[in-house]
Amino acid sequence: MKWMLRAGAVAALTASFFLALPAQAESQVTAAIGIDVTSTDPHKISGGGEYLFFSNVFEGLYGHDLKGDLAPQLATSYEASADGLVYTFKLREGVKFHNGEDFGADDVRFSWQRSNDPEIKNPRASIVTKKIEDVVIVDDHTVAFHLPEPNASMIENLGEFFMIVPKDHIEEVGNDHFSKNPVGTGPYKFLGRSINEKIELAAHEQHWGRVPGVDRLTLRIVPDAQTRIAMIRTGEADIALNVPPHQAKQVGADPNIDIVVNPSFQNYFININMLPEDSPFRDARVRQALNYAVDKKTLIDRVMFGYATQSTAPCNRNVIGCDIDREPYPYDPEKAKALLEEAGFDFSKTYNTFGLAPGRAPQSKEVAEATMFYLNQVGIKTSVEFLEYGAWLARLRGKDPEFALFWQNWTDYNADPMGRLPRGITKGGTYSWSDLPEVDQLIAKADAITDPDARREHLNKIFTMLYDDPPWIILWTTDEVHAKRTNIDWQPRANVSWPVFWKLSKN
Amino acid sequence: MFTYIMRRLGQTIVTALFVSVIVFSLARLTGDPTILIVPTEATEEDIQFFRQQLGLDRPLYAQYWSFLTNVLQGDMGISFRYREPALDLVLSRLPATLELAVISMLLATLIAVPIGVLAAVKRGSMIDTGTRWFATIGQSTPTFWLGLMLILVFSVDLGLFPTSGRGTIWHLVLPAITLGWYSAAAIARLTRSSMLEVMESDFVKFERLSGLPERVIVLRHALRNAAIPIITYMALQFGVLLSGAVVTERVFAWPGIGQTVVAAISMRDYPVIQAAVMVTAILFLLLNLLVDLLYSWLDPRIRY
Repeated sequence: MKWMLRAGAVAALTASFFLALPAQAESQVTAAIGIDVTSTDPHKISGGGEYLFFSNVFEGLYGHDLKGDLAPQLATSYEASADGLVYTFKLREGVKFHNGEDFGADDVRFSWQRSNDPEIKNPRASIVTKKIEDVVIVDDHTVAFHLPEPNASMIENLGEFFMIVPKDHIEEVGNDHFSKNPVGTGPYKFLGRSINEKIELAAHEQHWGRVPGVDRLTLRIVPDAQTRIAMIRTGEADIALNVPPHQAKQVGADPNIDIVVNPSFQNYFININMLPEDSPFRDARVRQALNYAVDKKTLIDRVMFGYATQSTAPCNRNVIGCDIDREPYPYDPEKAKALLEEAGFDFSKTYNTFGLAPGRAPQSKEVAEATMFYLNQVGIKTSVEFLEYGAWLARLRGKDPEFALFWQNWTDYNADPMGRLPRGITKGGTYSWSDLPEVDQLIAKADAITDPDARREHLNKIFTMLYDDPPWIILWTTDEVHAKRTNIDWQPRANVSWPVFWKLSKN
Repeated sequence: MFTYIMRRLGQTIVTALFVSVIVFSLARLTGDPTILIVPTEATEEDIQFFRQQLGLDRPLYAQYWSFLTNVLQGDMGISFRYREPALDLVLSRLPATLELAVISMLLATLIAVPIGVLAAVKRGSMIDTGTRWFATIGQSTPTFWLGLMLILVFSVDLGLFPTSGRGTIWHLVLPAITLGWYSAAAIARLTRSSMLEVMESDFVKFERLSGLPERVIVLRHALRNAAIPIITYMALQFGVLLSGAVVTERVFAWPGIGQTVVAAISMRDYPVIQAAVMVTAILFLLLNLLVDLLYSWLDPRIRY
């Protein structure tokens, strides 16, 4: 092995002219993350994973606190008019952008305009900002949103889809410069990045309430989970995100490493194609039977290694309305067989299914295979193929009648389920393979109910109907599994789809 | 010689043009990028808007024509995902890829050529057997496995080198060994067989009879004659390394072209795919030209 080291040293010396040593700052934390952000501009976000960056650097008027509950961020309170068409926000005073400029009402209006500007090409504008007709500056610290129609899910979505950017600064430096050198109000300010390598952040000392306990935070982009694990074992990383479930126990056995388990908003389920007129899956009994046929508990133990929570609907119970008064479907293959017989199910056919190739969602392939095994146990013949993400997504949208079932995951951005129900359930929705007219009617009304309690009850009713007449095989909500060195004090945000580093310190 | 270089450069342009057609069509065969850019909540209008903004609603021949005319002006388009010039993205990754490729190739050559020569000269000896073992094992070791094992032993257990990333000279050691391993094995095998062939040839026998020292025969004459297939292989292998060592880059989180291209392919980022393939294709072609010129220096009988 000595020759290797020597050869390495020779190689290293030859290469030294390429390189420079990085400077180390005081109280610095390195987190190894799996994927890079693409744009650093909050109005150009193109993937859900990018919120790992944005929710540390930018803020909305409202957002979610570390418990995952809706909480004011750049506003302090809001009031909705009785007809649900005007929302008046009191803005937090004394808030500073990373460049030292004061935050005020004109920044809110500017951010709304910028988010909707066709020049910016914001892929997410239609979710919140385009549903706002006007943002009126009432005074320096008060703004009013005027909506063309009630939008009860707006408040929950402000944190992700209406981030506030500095007006004066952008007008001075221009959009292109800002996109690469973002300035926000979040607990961390952006220092620089090297694409696919790292992102450098520093604590925003003037933050209104969440000054991080470290000076510097480096996000290292390390796509391979095994390498992230090696990094946390050597101490090169203080935090390693997304440890594969099957390795968590082994990694946590190291006395210097803690495993951090965080309930997520990611759900696994098997979607059922109810669309073809002659589909046997149009019969509710058949779909119930599929739910009885799969032993979710065993799958959670053996395939997810315990890092998942069985659910009654494909949503985390903290999602508004998801805490329905039902128990998860028990494993009862006999009942499944009886229901299938009763419905006159055609056992002679082979049902085509598809799933997602490994790499993007933990254990996606294993889960799909194991589920098909259970379906075979009650006599349903299936064939399954696995596709990479882009192809999987295209087929999901294509609603190919050749396919009866497919593995799917769905991650809510926040506790509001209306981001997904119209698209995932309502017939004709982008990702919907369902045909449940009564549920569709209820979904169509949900965003017009502005009273939070009445809305919760309404959504609860929808999820209860989706349990009784399930358009899917309900599996579970996954846990996020991360690792940290024991000298790191870190609390990721519960019940949100990506961790934040607001509460972070190094001992 | 000059006319030869000019002719070859002309061929290079034709080949590059051919590559442009292939990469343009293949990128488009991967599927529609718009659904990967917009969020799952996006409306049909959003998707149409983006398709139009990205120019994907235009007929293919029109898209190709814009692509080609822009490329000739050095513009490879704007990345769909990063919204930065695709060529800049690729070129900014090139130093990392070059660094790793050069060092691992150097490492491989410095190890493989001497042991290949020794194995041929001392045919049937322990060195020969060892070299053949090394060649077989080296070429059949999966890169990801070797990389992870090196990390486990030298970073996690011994703490000698960093696990991953790019920064200091020490960051280079493990990825360079991982990447050089396969090439070293292949070059050692090729050097051995090529040397064996030359050592059997008449001119070597003649040199021996004329009493030239064995060292001079081997190093000055035989090796030079055996070098042509080795150099050809090295150039090909180096070209492959330039297009990005995908697995090694992933295992060591090395920010090179390979990772960028894989991400671009999975996100259907056509401009980045096109820019990366065009850049590496042109590098490859120039490398080939260089090797051909090297032949005539190695073997004066080859004249252009």
